[in-house]
Amino acid sequence: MNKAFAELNPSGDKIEVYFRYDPDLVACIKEVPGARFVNASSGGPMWTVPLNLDIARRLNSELGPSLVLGKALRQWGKEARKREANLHALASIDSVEPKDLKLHVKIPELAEWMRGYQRADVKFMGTTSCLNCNEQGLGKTAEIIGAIFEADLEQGPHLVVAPKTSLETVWRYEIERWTEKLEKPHEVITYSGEMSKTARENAIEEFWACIDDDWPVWFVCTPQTVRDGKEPFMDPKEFPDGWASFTIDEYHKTGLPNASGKKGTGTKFADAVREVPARRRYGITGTPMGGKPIKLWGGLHFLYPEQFTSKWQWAKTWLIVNNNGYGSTIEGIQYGREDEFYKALAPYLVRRLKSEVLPQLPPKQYVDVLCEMTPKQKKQYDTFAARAEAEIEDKQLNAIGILAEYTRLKVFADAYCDHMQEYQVKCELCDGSGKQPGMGDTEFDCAFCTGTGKITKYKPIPSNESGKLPYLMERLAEAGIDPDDMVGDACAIVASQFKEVVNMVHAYLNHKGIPTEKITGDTTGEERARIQRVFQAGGEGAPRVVVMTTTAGGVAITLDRADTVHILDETWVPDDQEQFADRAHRASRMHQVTVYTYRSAGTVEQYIQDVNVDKAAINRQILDLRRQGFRADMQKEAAGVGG
Amino acid sequence: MSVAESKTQFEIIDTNIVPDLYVTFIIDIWEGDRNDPATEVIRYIGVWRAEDLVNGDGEAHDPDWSEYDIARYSRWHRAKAKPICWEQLETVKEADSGAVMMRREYESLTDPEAYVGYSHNSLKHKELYVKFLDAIDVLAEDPDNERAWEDVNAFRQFQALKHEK
Repeated sequence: MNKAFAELNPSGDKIEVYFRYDPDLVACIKEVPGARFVNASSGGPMWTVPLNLDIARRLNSELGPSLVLGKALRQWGKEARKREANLHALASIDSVEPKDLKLHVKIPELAEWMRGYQRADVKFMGTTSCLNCNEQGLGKTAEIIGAIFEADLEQGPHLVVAPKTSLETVWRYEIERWTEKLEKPHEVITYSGEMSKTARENAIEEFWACIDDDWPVWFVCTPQTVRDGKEPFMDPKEFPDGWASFTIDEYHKTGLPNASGKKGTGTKFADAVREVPARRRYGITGTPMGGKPIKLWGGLHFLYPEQFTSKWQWAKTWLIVNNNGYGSTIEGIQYGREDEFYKALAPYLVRRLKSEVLPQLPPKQYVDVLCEMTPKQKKQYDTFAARAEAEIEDKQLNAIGILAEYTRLKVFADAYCDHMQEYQVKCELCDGSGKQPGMGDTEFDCAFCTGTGKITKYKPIPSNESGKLPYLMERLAEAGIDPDDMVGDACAIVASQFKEVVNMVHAYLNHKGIPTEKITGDTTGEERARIQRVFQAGGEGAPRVVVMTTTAGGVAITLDRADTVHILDETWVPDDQEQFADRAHRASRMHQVTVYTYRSAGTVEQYIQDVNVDKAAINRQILDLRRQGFRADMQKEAAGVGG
Repeated sequence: MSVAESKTQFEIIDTNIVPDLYVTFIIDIWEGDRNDPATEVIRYIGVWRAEDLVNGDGEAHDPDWSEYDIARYSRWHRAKAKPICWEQLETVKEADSGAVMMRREYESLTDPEAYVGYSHNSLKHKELYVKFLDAIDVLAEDPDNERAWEDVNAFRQFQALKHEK
């Protein structure tokens, strides 16, 4: 085989590969993800591949003995490997003493307050941009603040994108709490579409005033603000100095997991964040994968867009990509490469489980509650199940359509629905125009909406004739929340995917004499804060139960007074349920938490359970077991070196 | 493996004979090395009158594939026995566009006879490229060979200056 020569390109962002034309070498280089031919008029003939260690290793394994390395590439490789080894070593540390952090000099009380694992995370995060994927309730917000000080970036400015419910209660609270004693207490500016125009203008003015005065400032906003990209500080041209740090909280709920390396082909949010100039980037989520490893790519692309350039390229490197004749689908990790995959992720990821860092916190106990539907409810469920099946069959629905049908069915598995609420949506076929698409300028009415541009749909409204309610009441009574005997201070939280079910259960429990509050997507930030406060404070008149929609209750709220968690219906993503249960199961209170999941027998809910068990197994297999193996290997290695 | 010489290759996939009437061939045609990523393999169907494929002694024979001219639109223009039907069925193997471009450029830059333009830059490019490729072979054996590194740097600097924006 001919010899090949690989060297860094002049701008230092790609590897150039040269060789005499050789079919074998061409076949080899085509196996390297991201390989592109560059013709003579653009500097070739040569091939280029993206510059990162994974690709460099792949290049080496494909071309192996044929490869001659240029001096700059050799030097880069040495440094990149050293950096990776350093990050691997840091990633495997489980505890750090306060005095070993720069943070200890800057905010001693924060360094002292943190647990050992948090300080270890701060040490790692102070070195590099990364994803903090620690389980819920392990104090990730404080770690971000600590890491920014550890990285000497505290002068700011800092951009934080977070769910609107956590702007004030989590971010403002934590930043002000830890920086108020500094010579220059950090300014926190919160910003969301819910604010009035004047309030938003004032916030922007205040931000620029801080920049002009060189005052440390945190701009904490919702994903929408970044997605719109209207503010000048989102634009590298208008804001050339950029942000010192850029953090996206609960990033799995933004468009980031569905990012694409190419503008306009992924989500608007992912396109917008790529443009935001920032020296250090952090992504936060307790549930980074949702059972699909490809969802990690969006986070990695956010951290290092110049390194993780192509989603498909990354997928082909690590994941199984199947072509079914109509297109490609991305599946799990390539067989036998799980350890290697985790090792490659380690320099970009912090991940700890509560069971590892807080062994004194009893693990959640899971109890499945199989419920019998009432006869009326069962009859209605069976009717709608048959109708859904016919709908799927007749209209040959795609995956989204099938999912929508199944999701609608879940309401009937929750309760008998005594009426249907009519609502209208824009016609999907004519996009609301009322004109038949593809008919030119003729005035044919859209066949789907008959010219109205709108489609009428019906939402089932559940009554309290539900097979699940007696089971729920029984479990609440067992836990000490018995309407006939309301002594004690036991508390619980209840979740449903559906707002209508939340409304029904909220009314039902209050009617039965159990003081109950509810939180849905319609609840304002102030109201959430009030509910959290009164629930956590307890005492006379305090609510004993909070009923929430799974997603609205899954973030930015601590309800650890609850000892039992009741999930009335599961979403298709097991992480949603975990996040919800973690409102009660947190480092802030050491207590036993029992999670009850209610499923109606013989319904779609049992199928969802099977799907979710598979997804949860993937999450555990890829992230957690591998990480534990990686840590053990690194520690063994370190012990070997030390010895 | 070096670049295979461009020579038209054939592989008969199937033959069907209707006695005294027609002979049908399904045939793959390509140039050079079939396994080369730059090589495209195309499958054709050709139908001959049976009488055109019989020699003076009355013996049947295959078409003379050497008369097939890949360079001409009318592929069988110089054949004695022309098919009555010649149609492309499918592309059995697509050529990789990068490989095709590389082969073409490599051939023109390393072939002393090939025309790459008469400008100083074009000729210099050709000269430096050949020296650069030779230097890679030297460095594979002797990584500290200063002369070879000079040739590598000369070519890369020339390219960098040429494409500097």
